[in-house]
Amino acid sequence: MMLVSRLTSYLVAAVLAAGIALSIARWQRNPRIAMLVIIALGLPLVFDFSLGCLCRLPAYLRWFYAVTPSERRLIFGIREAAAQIARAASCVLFLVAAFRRRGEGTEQQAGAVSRKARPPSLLEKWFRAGGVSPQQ
Amino acid sequence: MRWVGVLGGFLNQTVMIAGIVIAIVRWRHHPWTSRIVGIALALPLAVTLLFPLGLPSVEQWLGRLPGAQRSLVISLDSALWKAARAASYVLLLIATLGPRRDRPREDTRGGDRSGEA
Repeated sequence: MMLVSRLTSYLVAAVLAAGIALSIARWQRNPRIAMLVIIALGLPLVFDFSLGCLCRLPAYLRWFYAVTPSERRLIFGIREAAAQIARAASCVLFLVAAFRRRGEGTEQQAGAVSRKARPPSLLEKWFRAGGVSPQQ
Repeated sequence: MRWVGVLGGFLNQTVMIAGIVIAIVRWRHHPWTSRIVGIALALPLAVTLLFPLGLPSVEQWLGRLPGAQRSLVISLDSALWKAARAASYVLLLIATLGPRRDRPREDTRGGDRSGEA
C-alpha cells in the first residue's frame, strides 16, 4: 500500500511537469495564461515535491532526528503550512487563468481582440495624425 | 505548531469553496469552463471532507486500530487524495489550455454596441 501512495505522488509530479511543458509549448499563443499556469503548477511542485525529496536526503534526516521532538513538530508544521499555502495560491492562479482566458473570446480572435482593446499609445496617435503636430 | 497546518488546510479549503462559488456565478457566461473548474475543485475537496483523518475524533479511532490496519488506512487515504489532486490538475489544465468550447455570449442589453470599439 505504501507503494501505491508513492506511485500516486509520482503521478501528481508527472502531471505537474507535463502541465509546465504544455504551457511552455503554448507560450506563443497566450503568454499571460501560460505564465500563470507555469507559476500555478510550479508552486506545488516546489513546495510539495522538491521539499519532499529534500526531506529524504540522509543529511537532512540526520539533522531532523537530532533536534528535539517539539522542534521537529515545528519544522513539520511549517512545511505542511507552506505546502497548503502553495496549493491555495495555485488554485487562485488557475481560477484567474481559466476565467480570464474565457473572457477574451475565441482562440482565433484572441490576438486581434487584445490588439483592438488596447488604447492607442501617444506614439500611435502621433503616427495616425500624420506625424505632424498641431503647431506645425 | 499543529494549528499552523490546520490553518493552512482551512485556507486551502476556503479557496476551493470560493472557486466553486465563482464557477457557479460565472456559469451563465462560461458554462463549459465553469463545469470543468467546478469538478476540478470539488474532487479534492470531496476527498478531504469524506476522509477527514486530521480530525481529533478520527485520530482517536485510528489510534484504536492495530498498526497494520492503521498504516493501510493512512496509505489508502493518501493515495486517494493524491489521485484526486492529479485528476484536478488535469481538469484545470484542460480548462485553461484546452480548446475553447464556450460560445461567446451575445450581449442584448442596450441595443447595438458595435460602434463603441
